Amino acid sequence: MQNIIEIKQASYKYEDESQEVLHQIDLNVKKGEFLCVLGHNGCGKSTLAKLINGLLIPTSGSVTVCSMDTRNEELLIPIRSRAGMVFQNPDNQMVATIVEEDVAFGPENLGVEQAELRQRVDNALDAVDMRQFALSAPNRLSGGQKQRIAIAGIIAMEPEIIIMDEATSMLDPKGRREVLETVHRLNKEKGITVVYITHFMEETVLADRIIVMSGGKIEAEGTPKEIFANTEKINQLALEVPPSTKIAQKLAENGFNVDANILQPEELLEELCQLV
Amino acid sequence: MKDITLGQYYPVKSPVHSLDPRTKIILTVLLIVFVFISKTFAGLGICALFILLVDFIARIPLKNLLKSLKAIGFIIFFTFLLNLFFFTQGNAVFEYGIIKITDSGITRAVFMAIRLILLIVGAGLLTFTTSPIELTDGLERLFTPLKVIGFPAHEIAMMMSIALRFIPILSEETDKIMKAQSARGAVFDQGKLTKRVKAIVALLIPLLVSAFHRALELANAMEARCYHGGEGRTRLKVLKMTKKDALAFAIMGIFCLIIVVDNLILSKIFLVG
Repeated sequence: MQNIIEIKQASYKYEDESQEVLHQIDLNVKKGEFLCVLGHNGCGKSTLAKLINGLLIPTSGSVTVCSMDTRNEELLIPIRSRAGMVFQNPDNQMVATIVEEDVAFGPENLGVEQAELRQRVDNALDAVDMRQFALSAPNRLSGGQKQRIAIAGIIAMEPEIIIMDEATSMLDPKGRREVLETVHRLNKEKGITVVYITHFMEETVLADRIIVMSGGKIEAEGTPKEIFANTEKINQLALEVPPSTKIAQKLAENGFNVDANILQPEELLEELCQLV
Repeated sequence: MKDITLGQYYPVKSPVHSLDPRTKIILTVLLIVFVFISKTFAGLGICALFILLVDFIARIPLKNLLKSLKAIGFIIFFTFLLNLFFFTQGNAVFEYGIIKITDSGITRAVFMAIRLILLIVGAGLLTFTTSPIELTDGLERLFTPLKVIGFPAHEIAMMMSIALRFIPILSEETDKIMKAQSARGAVFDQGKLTKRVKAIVALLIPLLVSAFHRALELANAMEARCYHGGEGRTRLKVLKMTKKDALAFAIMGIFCLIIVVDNLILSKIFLVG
């Protein structure tokens, strides 16, 4: 399969900082892949996301999206229309006061004709299962619903890639599940490539591939099974392990007979019941 | 806090509500102009009747419409007094020291007060029947021709709609910060003025910082969604003038004509001011 994103030796340094946030990253993403980028705060994963969508241009090296180099300023609009991005804070990425107008914002910017625009907005709202909220005000929606609207706003641009930049970190567990399910469905049904950035390990379980970042470098790469097998490395990278795992680990450390490698709350419950 | 209503939009379905916002803006401006050029009490009476008629068609309770007068009641009263005391032509009705009230002064004061009331209520009709979003849309499109001379119609409309979008968010945030600061001992509603102002600073600074933070993120998100100004932008909602709008213009035309006729004929008999 062909590579839809090609990152070659890309480094990035913010102007007012002395150290590079990203250091010579090499990464290829295949068309239709579900890639998770895992790492704790400040590891450079959000910067990586911004490189892919051309919001930031690498200080050295190159980023190519759908065979377009992000260094070419004229290609930025086509690149952004192919690689849509959903941000962390649901409130700070909505422009319009009505849901359907917010969804239309992207394609409006691309100059899509009115009849097609209507069609695209309706389809996008269907794709995230939010059609019934088309005429609501965004501030009446829950966090998860707002993020689904943000995804719809991206879908309406008919992109090939969706970048989720910690899009679930401000949501409650229910909202996180909604959003995660939505992107997985879009990945399967529409074949949209997903770059899913998160610090929650449990969200990466169903990914095709995971890369783990730390200190601006890719520290580990592999399928979820491969990554999770290497618990030592994960711990060493100080990743935010799922709360259930954290509790289990602490209990094990303090001499309780609990399996420290569990991932799901249900497993923790079982372990705890055995103790009692 | 979530249900904060902006302005005074009164959401019901009526023929007036369903008019194109551009029509409503133009007609409101015309109404204001014609309230201004009415020279007689009869003319003002016609304006008042017309406003009542529109209000009736728009299904807005008169009580709500008159509420908008509350805020500027003081200004009306003040204008009334100014006209009463400082218009010294005509026959004196009451004189005491330097105070002199004349008959034409009284007429003029009453006339001005009525005119102001009609202006406010007339303009209120627009904001009662048009949501802030429609209003922004209408204004943007009305001002689009002015782009030729460099008027930033799209940018202003975009700012207005973003402001509308963020008002509820920021008001919620203010509430949150206020509670957080109160929890740490800040007092907002007691003490001397200087103390209160200082307390407000503790509220405003976090709010301002957060607003800037939000602005930065929003700008990023807009750019990521290919925003590059108004150039080449299409719109999901296209405003369309219909027969209803034509009818509204026709009714307005008749109203204007009546005022003009009234000014030409009646003003010779009861000239005021």
